[in-house]
Amino acid sequence: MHLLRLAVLNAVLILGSSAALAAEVAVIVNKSNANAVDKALLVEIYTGQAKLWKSGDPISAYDLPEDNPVRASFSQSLLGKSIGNMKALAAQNLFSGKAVPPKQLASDEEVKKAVATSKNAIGYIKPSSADDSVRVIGLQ
Amino acid sequence: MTALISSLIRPCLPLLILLAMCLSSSATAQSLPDRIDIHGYGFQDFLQTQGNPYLGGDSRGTWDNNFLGLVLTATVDDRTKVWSQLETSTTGTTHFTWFFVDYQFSDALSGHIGRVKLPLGFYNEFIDAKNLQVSMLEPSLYQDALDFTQNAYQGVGIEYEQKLRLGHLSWELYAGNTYDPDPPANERDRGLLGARLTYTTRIDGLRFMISAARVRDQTLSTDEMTNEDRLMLSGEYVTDRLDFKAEYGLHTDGSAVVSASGTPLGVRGEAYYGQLGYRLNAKWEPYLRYDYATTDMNHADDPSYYQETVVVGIGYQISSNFIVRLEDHLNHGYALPVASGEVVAGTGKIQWNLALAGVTFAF
Repeated sequence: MHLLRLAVLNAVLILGSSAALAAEVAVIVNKSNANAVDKALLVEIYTGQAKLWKSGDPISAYDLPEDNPVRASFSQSLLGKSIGNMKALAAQNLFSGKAVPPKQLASDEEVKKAVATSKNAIGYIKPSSADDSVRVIGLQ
Repeated sequence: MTALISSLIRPCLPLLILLAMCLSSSATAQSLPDRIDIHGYGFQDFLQTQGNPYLGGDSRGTWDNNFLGLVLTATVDDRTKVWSQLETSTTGTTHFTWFFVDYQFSDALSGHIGRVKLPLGFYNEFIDAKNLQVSMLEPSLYQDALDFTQNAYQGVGIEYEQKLRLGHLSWELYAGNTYDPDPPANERDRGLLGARLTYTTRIDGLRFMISAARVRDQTLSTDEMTNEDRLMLSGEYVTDRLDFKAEYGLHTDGSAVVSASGTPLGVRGEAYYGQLGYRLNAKWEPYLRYDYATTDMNHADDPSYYQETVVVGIGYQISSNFIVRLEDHLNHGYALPVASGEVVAGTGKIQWNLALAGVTFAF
């Protein structure tokens, strides 16, 4: 019984910390982009599997630099993979001619500007950087 | 002078065509720099062998093993991309390994036409991108000497992604001719048909693959037509710390061996490996591999036709783009040096060693 309680407590702590990490990231799309986005689609976009929105338009995905803590949060909590793993996947796709990796921009402001000016773009920033120039996706 | 200019322009001609397509495209509002992506990768290593020469290396060692590849992607319009890879290596030739147009019919279905890296097993499409592999020298299954894999094909291919409740399936089908920068003198490829099925499970990092290709070969001196078949079964489990891979390959070549009466006996080669890399921390990754190959199962007991290898190595990640590796290959049998023409069958050393130190990079 004691072990069971410990296991439940550990699970709650892990889920809690994952939720906390996810709260540090705001996934954003262009305001005119009405396509539904869930976690599964997010994984498909950033692993190069999904290239078109349901509307048929091409997806333009943006990344932040590797040393940005928001990228680490995005990768671990929303994609479920480390930055290293994501980089390796992106390189495999690129060097085998399957998919181009997301474009890396230097800061939240650059990502926000790119998403605000391109109707097919998707990116992620700190929640505090979001404003009404972009639509923030609510992810479960 | 004309010959020099021509030799420089010829390899770049596909690039120039690609740039022209992008400049003339009016389907996208993106500027040219936004529509062109350039990446690359390469390696340089020092190789030394004790017992048998192989890959140009002997007891004195050689630096003559290097590679640089530039991958250029151009977005022509919303659904069309042009991909190309220009490479130069130890062989001294600079050429386009692949150059193809990719069209996205839908999110699940895409097609390509041109020269495409042959989709065989896990590594064939990026075999020279050592930073994507656990070791410096690839498993025997992928080494040129064994002829288990082919460089690329020229033709058409389609890919279809199928979502399942328990993961997803990637279907690939292609047809054309093989592209071999150094084709055999007495043989002509008269057709290729191949497929690959990849099952990515719901367990993160676990996937399986089956690849197969048939080439219709013509022996020019006799006008004989035979089939050359390749089959690979692959499985991997990759996490943040662990990289485990195992593959099995079978290669049959109807044209290579004939009986006294002239009936093709069919050379059957077989190779397999199991490999484990373990990331101790952000910098260090030791690895271990068991590798077996035979170039002719009819002579599987002859050390000229089999090679059993244990690879032990360690990698150090200097930065996210640079890795240094040291590895040692303990070999029993010398099938690969015989197949590469560096050792005469029956004259090689059965127990021999190959050591490698290399740097690999990507950008």
